[in-house]
Amino acid sequence: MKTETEPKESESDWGELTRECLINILSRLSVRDRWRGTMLVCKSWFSAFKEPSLHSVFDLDSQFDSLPELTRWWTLEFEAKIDCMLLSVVEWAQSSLTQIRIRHCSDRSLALVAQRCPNLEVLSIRSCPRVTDDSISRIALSCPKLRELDISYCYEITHESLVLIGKNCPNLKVLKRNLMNWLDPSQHQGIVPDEYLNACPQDGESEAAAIADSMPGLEWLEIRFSKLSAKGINTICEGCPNLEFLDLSGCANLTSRDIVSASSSLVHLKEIKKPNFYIPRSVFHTERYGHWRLYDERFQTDIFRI
Amino acid sequence: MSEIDMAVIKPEMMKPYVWLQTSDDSIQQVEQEIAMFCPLICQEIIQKGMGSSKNCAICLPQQVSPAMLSLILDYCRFHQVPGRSNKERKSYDEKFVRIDTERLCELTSAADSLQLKPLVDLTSRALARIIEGKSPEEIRDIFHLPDDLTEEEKLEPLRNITADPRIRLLNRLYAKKRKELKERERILKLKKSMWMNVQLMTFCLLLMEMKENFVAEPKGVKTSKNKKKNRRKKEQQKNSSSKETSELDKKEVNGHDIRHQSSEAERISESSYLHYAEDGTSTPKSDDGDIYDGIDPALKEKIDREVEDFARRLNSDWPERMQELLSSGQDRKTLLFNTDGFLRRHA
Repeated sequence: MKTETEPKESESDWGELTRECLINILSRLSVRDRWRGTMLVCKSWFSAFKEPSLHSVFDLDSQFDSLPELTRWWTLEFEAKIDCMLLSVVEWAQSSLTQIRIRHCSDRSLALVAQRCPNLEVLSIRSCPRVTDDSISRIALSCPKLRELDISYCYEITHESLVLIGKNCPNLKVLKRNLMNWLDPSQHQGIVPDEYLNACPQDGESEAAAIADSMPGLEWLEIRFSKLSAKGINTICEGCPNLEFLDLSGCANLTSRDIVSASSSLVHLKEIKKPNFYIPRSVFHTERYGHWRLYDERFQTDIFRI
Repeated sequence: MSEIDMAVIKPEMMKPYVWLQTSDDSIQQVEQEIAMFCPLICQEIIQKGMGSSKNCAICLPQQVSPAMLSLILDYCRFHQVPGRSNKERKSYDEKFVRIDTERLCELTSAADSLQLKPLVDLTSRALARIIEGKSPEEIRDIFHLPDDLTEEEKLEPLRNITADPRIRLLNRLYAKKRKELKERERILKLKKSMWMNVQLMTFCLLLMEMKENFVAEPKGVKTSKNKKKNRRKKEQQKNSSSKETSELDKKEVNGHDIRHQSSEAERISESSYLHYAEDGTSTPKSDDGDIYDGIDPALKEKIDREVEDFARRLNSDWPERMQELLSSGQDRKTLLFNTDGFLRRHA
């Protein structure tokens, strides 16, 4: 069985790489090298670049992680570029797209993802101010194979989406719904627009309820800086008995006791990250009720404090 | 094949050599053990019974030239020996791919056609390492690839970006702005070279004027030399004027909207043409040193200084001069447009 070379426009004696070899080589390059170096070399390379198998995983997270957070990532212009890249990838992948790990996209591109990617398994879209319940509900309805979802720092997505996702994606194992550090926003100030920092969702309870109700198979949950209370964590632990990893860093409304009592029922739990600080009540009350400290000291009412 | 042939071939399958035919139609003998390392050859021998003699040599794919075949056989010869350690094999591999890129590509294609996967992986990895971190131009250079993507094709990944009306508007504004800036730059460049020509022209004229003035003082002293000088001056004029007019012509052809500005320059060039027309016997030879012939060194310095002065004044008066030039029959609008950028540049 002899392999035939595909007819090339330049019939050189030079021994050109066949398309299969070229695709093999391109598959060994990083996303960055492929897009920036090989995409616009020449016609034959561009055609090989668009091979669907090369686009089944679209991972820009490694690129984002290698840089400190930049202000320009939060601009409309940047978002348009990301949207544009995602739209192109969706077209080239032709329904073989299984993993998307990007940031700062918008509803525009996700609508096409919902339409064209029925085999989507991983969707990680952190820090997308302009992704709303609309796209996520569409994806919930069209991507039943979804097993990992990361919607951290997307403040336009509410608990309603979580319900839809849970109900329509039975394979969901990983959910990441982290919020930005609202206790000490200094690490984000200057980069993330202030209005966005202030628009942090407040309804940790309803989100917890949504998770508990609709995601029974959940194994990995991250809800950093969520505002849920003891009741919320209890419902989660009851609704998701298979949890193996739970990240509750920054959930300031939970006490150690709440967490321990709630998570004792989780038999598969391997790791749990508790809010790693203790905020004594006196810190909150220093300014207004500072004088009560004296009262406490005199009458020892602090024995009633947990 | 007849039955007898088949009977003859079967025991010959144990023969140590096979016959392979490469892309240039030459046939060579190769140890069977080594050749069998390539799945394609293996298949041909076992399934089709080929390769046992020169007549039924196995026809290798087109990508396998004799040079490539020998490389591949070297590879097979090394690796088919079972007793080698992983370290040995790895270092052999690393040395093996240290060939120039062209041969590496040929080798990849050849190995791929013979379905020799380990070698394909090795060469592909090496090529990927070469491509890593390079720009498209560099890659084209290394692999001798043509730059045959049209502008439209290059923009294909970005075409989705224009779906958003805001972005579309932004793009349009940017494109307009860029065009405007380019146009402005081009006009400025032309005007600058225009003005340099005019300056040169006036400078030469002045020089001649001064020479004339000076030469006129000691009357009757060197009349023959005057004639010579006149002729030479006219030559100068002619040379500079022809140079100016040719350049002016070029400029005129380039931009009809600067014809207004060039009107003054035209007048100057016309006047010098008249001079030329009067004196028809001048030879096209210019001799700068001869201008100073017969003039006292002290006076020469004086003239030099005055000329420098004038040149300096010209340079400093540039913006105002420009205004003068432009004010002759100009649109108010274009004047503002032109001088705005112009003044900003040279203020």
